[in-house]
Amino acid sequence: MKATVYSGRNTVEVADVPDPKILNSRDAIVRITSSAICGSDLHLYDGYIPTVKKGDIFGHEFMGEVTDVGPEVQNLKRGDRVVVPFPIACGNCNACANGLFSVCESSNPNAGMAEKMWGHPIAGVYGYSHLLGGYPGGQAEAARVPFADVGPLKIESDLPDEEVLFLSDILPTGYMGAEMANIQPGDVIAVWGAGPVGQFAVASAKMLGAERVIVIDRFDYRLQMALEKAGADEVIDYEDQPDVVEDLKERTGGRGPDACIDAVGMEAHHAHGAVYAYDRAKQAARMETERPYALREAILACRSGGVVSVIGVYGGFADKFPIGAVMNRSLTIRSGQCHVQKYMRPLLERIEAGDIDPSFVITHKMGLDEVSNGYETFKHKHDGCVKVVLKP
Amino acid sequence: MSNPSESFGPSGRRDARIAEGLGWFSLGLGAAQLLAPGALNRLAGIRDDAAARLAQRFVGVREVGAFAAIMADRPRPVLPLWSRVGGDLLDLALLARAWDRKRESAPRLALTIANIAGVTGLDIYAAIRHTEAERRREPRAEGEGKAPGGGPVQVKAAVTIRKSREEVEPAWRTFEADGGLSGWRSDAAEAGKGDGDGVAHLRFVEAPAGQGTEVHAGLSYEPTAGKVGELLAKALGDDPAQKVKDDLRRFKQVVETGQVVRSEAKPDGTRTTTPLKERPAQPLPAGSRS
Repeated sequence: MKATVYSGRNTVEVADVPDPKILNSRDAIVRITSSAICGSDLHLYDGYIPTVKKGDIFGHEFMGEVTDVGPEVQNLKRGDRVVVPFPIACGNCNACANGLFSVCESSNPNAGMAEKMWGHPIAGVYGYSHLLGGYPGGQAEAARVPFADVGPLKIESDLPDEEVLFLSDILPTGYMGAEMANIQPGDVIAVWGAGPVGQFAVASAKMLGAERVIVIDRFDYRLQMALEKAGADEVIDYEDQPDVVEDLKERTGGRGPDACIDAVGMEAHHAHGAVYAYDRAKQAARMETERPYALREAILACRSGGVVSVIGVYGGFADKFPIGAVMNRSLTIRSGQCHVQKYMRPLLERIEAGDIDPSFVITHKMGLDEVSNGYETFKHKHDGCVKVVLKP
Repeated sequence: MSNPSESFGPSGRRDARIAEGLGWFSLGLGAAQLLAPGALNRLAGIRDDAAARLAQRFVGVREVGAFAAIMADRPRPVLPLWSRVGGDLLDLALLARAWDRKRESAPRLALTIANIAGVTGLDIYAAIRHTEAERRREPRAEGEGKAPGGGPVQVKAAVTIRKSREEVEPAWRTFEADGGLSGWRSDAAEAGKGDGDGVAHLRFVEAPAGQGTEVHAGLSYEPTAGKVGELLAKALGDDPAQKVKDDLRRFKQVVETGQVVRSEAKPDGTRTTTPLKERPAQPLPAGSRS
């Protein structure tokens, strides 16, 4: 079959690889009908996530049709249409039992490696480095889905792929970001990053009753999308208005936003060249793995006693982390890779009820053959790119 | 408290003096290399250019480090002595290069090489003597020196399994009988019969608040090749601590999920190795075991 493989920094190519097959009795094989390139794939593409090997198949947002199931998979049969959640979770361990699917204790065969990096391992993830298990991803014609009796969500209605595909990652991720913000009546929520996850964090914050949502980014077209499609009330273009923290204070009567959502992560940008150069250089020299501008700002901007909700992906270690602000101002930091399995069904119901149509983020659709172009367009934000969907 | 050297016996005392002598030699040579690299180059018969001076200084830093390490690890500096042997080999290689490329005076350079070869011999002798003494575990005076470099290695690991103790204990016996362990328990049992003191222990404890059963496994063994051997084994991916942890994870997977979890990069499941040894995250070729 054809698949998107990593072939070195800033390059992916379509390669012929063997067809996936069942390795465990709880596996299924899915013929992929749609997959997407995620912002976090760019961290792999840019070479900032360790343990990515040449030849690794990328892609953790995908859906398709079940073509084979292992003997222990009772809930699915050939022909079923499923969306696959990006964390692989066993459903049997204490983490899964508590709804913490992305920190499943058993699904990562490289737990020992992940433990060395983070203290404890996390779940396996499709196409996301060997540290997260070494599972082939879904930017391909087919994929093996382990623990198919736990993860995949069957789609029985005739909603098109475009409306349900994002249940695999970015819609639940944005939603969890808003949910962790513990939104109360009257709350003002600030969201850093108007990428696809940021858009869904905005839409979710509105669904959860936020009074006002303010979005921070540097791309006008993305800020426009947040205003027009996601339901944001205000936007800040930080290249016009570099002092985001002051600006947010002014907009909130000096209080600061009640909760701040970081939907940017490790490869943030900064309006001040010198500040950007400092972290960019340390990151390039592997002295820190992050460029944590959005996170620093979110912490400094947040009202005392508020919540900083981190859904942007970080890999390792950040410098100049304002822990003094967190401690002295009674902030709460909440974070996590999304526990997608927990959110898929309720969010599918929201989509079916017409509360949200997540397809608004899609700006590009292309065949798998064009994936290399897709990564470049998405990375450099050419052509008004927000989200690329691949059709194998 | 007794005089430290009393616990050694005559040959032990002599070995300790040799090691200390090598330490002072390191300091003297290192200081000369750092302070007067040019003079040393000329004395050694090497063409005295900037690169050669830089090399002298680098080696000088290492020599001073060797002095500090030997003194800190007295009276039985096993690891520092072996690292001196490594340094000697490096020096001989540098001198061989100098013979080809920077020979100023053949007789003087030949004499230098002979001298370094002699010191290498002495270093090897001292390193072996101290390693053997360490292995015999000759008694040391209380509170004197650091813990022996080659003391027993303690390994501990634990995992919590979401099942009752009544289910977990028999499952462990089955897992072990089916060859689920990578050998550390039987290795330890065997070592226990010999003159080492390999011990493997296993404990099942009920976890609080109905979270299941904690499995605690531990291992204490005498590394066969001392501390150096142990580090080497780890570097080669044979780390007993990791083996015990991996086995506990596999056991947990079997008991909780019914199987050992496999990925395409790790078709045999959890066994920590270096990512360099893994296959790429791509489906296995047709015809391979499924």
